[in-house]
Amino acid sequence: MIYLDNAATTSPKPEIVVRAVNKALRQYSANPGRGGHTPSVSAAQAVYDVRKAVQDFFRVPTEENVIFTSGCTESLNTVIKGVLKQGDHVVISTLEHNAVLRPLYKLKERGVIDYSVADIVCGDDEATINAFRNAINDQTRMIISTHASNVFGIRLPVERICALAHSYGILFCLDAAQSAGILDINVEDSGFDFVCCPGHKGLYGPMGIGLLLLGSDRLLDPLKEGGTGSNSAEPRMPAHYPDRLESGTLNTPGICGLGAGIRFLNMRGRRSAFRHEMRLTERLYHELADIEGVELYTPPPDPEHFVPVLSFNIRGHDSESVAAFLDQKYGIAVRAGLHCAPLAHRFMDTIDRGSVRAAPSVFTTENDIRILVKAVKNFMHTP
Amino acid sequence: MNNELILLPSVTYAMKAKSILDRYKIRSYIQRTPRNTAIKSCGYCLYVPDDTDEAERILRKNGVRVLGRASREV
Repeated sequence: MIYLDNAATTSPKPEIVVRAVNKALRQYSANPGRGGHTPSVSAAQAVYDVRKAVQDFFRVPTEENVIFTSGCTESLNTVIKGVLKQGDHVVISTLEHNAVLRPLYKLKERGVIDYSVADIVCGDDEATINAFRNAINDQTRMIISTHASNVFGIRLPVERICALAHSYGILFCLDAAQSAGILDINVEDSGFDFVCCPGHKGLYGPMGIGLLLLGSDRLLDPLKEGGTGSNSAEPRMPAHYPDRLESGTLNTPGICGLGAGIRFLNMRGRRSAFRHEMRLTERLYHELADIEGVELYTPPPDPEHFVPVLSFNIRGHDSESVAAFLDQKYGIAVRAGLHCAPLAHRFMDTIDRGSVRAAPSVFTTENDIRILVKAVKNFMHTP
Repeated sequence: MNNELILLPSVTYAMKAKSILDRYKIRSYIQRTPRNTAIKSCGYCLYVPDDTDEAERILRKNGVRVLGRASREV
């Protein structure tokens, strides 16, 4: 099997991640932060060590501002529902995932908020920033932007969009679903108010773990209330982080797996991994571009403006049938369809058939790309 | 009454406080906050047998939210 669906989740997971999850289940199976006995304190220490590693990796102001969630979707929902109030307005980009669009749509449908979509201009950051600026109004409370499209790999100038937001007194939330562990994210220097990350994609952790990184101590309304092992006599949720946003028993195996994923990246070198993946993506782009009938949607991907995610189609064929062929005939796993990003597909005029998406990881080889290109060529000649 | 317990809001703060004191070579132990303290709620504290006042000052200086002090239950 050649796995090229790493934008959905990285696979395989590094061996140290597998071992860390296993160790957590065996050695840290007591409830962290719920007891004073040794096993509970040991589990809490393991969780704290990962919290600290995350703080260091993303340069979060303090370790308390690292919130463990079930995934990027929960992180985004926590920000959206914890910040927005009646009458607020939000600006998002045209490349947003349903994890951003759907919670906003629901709030809009209920008459709580309104939102506007800023059209990005691929390759023209100035025009993209202008689009965000033009979408701001007096009620705009927050800008939410993906760091990079999960369909087309296009990067947005998020540091500048964040600066724009702050110049208007508006909060900025970064959806780092396709960039956490891939691009450099420095919460403190960038000034991002909120950064939402999956643990199981570019950070190589297991599924079911995510991060919400807080740029400040601004108090969010919790998405859920419950036990925290602290302030238990109080019916209100604690005012301090991380407890305020971490009710219920934590996912210790997931957290330990995420910690191992970060160790893996630190050992492998995030920058070097990114360069490797971009090299493969660029090669794939150029080889596909040479095949008559292959449709590509962006300029050639370069590391300044893209992440290693590439979408294509084959003229006259829907994306699902191409992906099924690649899977069944060549054992190549790519993702077809809309990738939970209808805004992005409307923007690229691919909403009716979606696209075939290939995304390498550190484990992908030049040979994997060569076989994919060969398989696409053979698809053309298959009746 | 030595008030050798430093009361903290959560287990995360207890871990953070302990790691800071470790850097200063001050011995400390994480434990649950006893029920006989002024904090009538679940929580964690650090038992700092020696130099507790100095430890508290260090923690406050390093941005740790200290809820108070108490004596250790024996």
